[in-house]
Amino acid sequence: MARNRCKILIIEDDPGFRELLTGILNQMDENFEVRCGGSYREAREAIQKELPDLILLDIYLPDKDGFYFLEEFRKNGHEDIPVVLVSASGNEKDKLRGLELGAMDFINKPIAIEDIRARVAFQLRLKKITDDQKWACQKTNEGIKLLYKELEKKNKKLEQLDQLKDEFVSMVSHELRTPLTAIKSSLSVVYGDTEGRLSADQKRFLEISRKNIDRLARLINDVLDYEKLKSKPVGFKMAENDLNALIGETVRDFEPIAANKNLRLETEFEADLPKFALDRDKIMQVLTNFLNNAVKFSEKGKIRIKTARWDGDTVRVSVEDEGVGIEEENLPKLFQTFSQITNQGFRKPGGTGLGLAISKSIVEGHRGRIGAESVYGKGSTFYFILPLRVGK
Amino acid sequence: MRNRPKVLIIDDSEADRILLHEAIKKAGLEVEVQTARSGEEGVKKANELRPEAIIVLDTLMPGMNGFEACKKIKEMDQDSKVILCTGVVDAVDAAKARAAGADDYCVKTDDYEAVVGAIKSLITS
Ligand SMILES: Nc1ncnc2c1ncn2[C@@H]1O[C@H](COP(=O)(O)OP(=O)(O)OP(=O)(O)O)[C@@H](O)[C@H]1O
Repeated sequence: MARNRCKILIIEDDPGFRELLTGILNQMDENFEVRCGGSYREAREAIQKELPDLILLDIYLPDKDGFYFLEEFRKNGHEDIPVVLVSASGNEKDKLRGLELGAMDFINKPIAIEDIRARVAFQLRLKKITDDQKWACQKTNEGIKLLYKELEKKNKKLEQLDQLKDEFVSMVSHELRTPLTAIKSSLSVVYGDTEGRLSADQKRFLEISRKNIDRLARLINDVLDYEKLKSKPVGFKMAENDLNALIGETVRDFEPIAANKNLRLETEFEADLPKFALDRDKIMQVLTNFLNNAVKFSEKGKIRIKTARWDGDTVRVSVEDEGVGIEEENLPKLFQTFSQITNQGFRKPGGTGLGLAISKSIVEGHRGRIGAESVYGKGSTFYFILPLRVGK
Repeated sequence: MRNRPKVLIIDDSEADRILLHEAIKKAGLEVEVQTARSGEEGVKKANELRPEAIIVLDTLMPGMNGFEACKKIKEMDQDSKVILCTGVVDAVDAAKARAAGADDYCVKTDDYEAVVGAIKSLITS
């Protein structure tokens, strides 16, 4: 095998010495493939034909000297083929110059056989280690490149599937909406104009149907909202708005619902708040989601809605309740799609678990940040932080 | 006609054995494929198939792993051609493969592109 046969090139102008070296090397290992050259020109020809694993190079050559060859050899990028200089001079200056030009070792004439054997073996061992490392490195890189390519392919496929899923979900939701609307209006006709003709039981069942159809419609709307936001995070209707006033309005709508559960609503508004660009409907939707949840997950106490100037040029809007709270391990899951956490000691309320995920995309669409803090059993605070200047 | 070159697949995973065989066929390689399920069985078969089989070895196998099997096969016959392949590329493993005497070290992807390529280049060399 090519890999196991070491190729050694001897560049030496003295034929007798060449033969001597060749003999020593062949004796060392019969697998060595030894070739020789007697001049700079022959050395160049030899390396052009095939690169050896080791070069033994005489400094004094008839045409150009060994230093010249060495310098050129290294300059041509052959950095990892060891060159051992052979010289009769034993001259320290020559050694230093050789080292500078990239020689790996020296052999002095007259030569000691043991010395040569040891030095040649050492250089070949080093060369093998370097070669092996280079091989391993190259093979690893090739493998990684291939794996990367494969990963990209798989990723593309996943993206396509994801898109297919989105399209499917949105198509189905749209298709569901139409018959639902029909059922709803037909039902309200029956429900509305049958004074006396329906028994109390029948009315009760009709009422149940109506409630559940409303719920179904809400769920479908949530799914559609979410898909829309996901596919088009832009499309916000941004306009200068008074955030405090907008919150005041939303909170007022909740007063009857809160009163029903004996919950107090409290507001605290930041006085120094400029008007700034936001999508009124969308921000109201986030607040409504927060307030809905706060009411849903509270049995007592108050719900505090607060605006405050925050870090940099931002405003923080928070809804704080004294309800059941959320276990710490569940906090990170809150804003994920379809995540519903079982709040202990609390009947699982109907919903898609999409509300907070939608809120998150709305807030992020405003370049804001959404979050929640909670002490389990004591209450939760849901907040979002909006920049007062969006974009330029 | 000259005998078709033989390829011996040594892999504990049946799926890999079958799929790699398919990939070789799909690439149009005119070879005769044999398989073995473990390092031990593989070394035995490799010995019977000497000298002309190209051996494709999985690195990770229970019992005798690919590196050990490669070493054994190379001890029996320096000239056997061995490709070590793996699902997880790793520079340390690559160095181990080299030390065990492997002629090639490559990654198993879904289409076995690298393994088939390695077989091809060993056939032509
Ligand atoms: N104020 C809160 N107190 C306690 N748990 C809360 C509170 N707000 C949200 N959660 C938890 O987070 C979960 C997700 O809320 P999210 O608004 O996303 O969906 P939902 O309320 O279940 O349904 P809907 O889509 O109708 O809003 C809730 O199911 C609840 O477990």
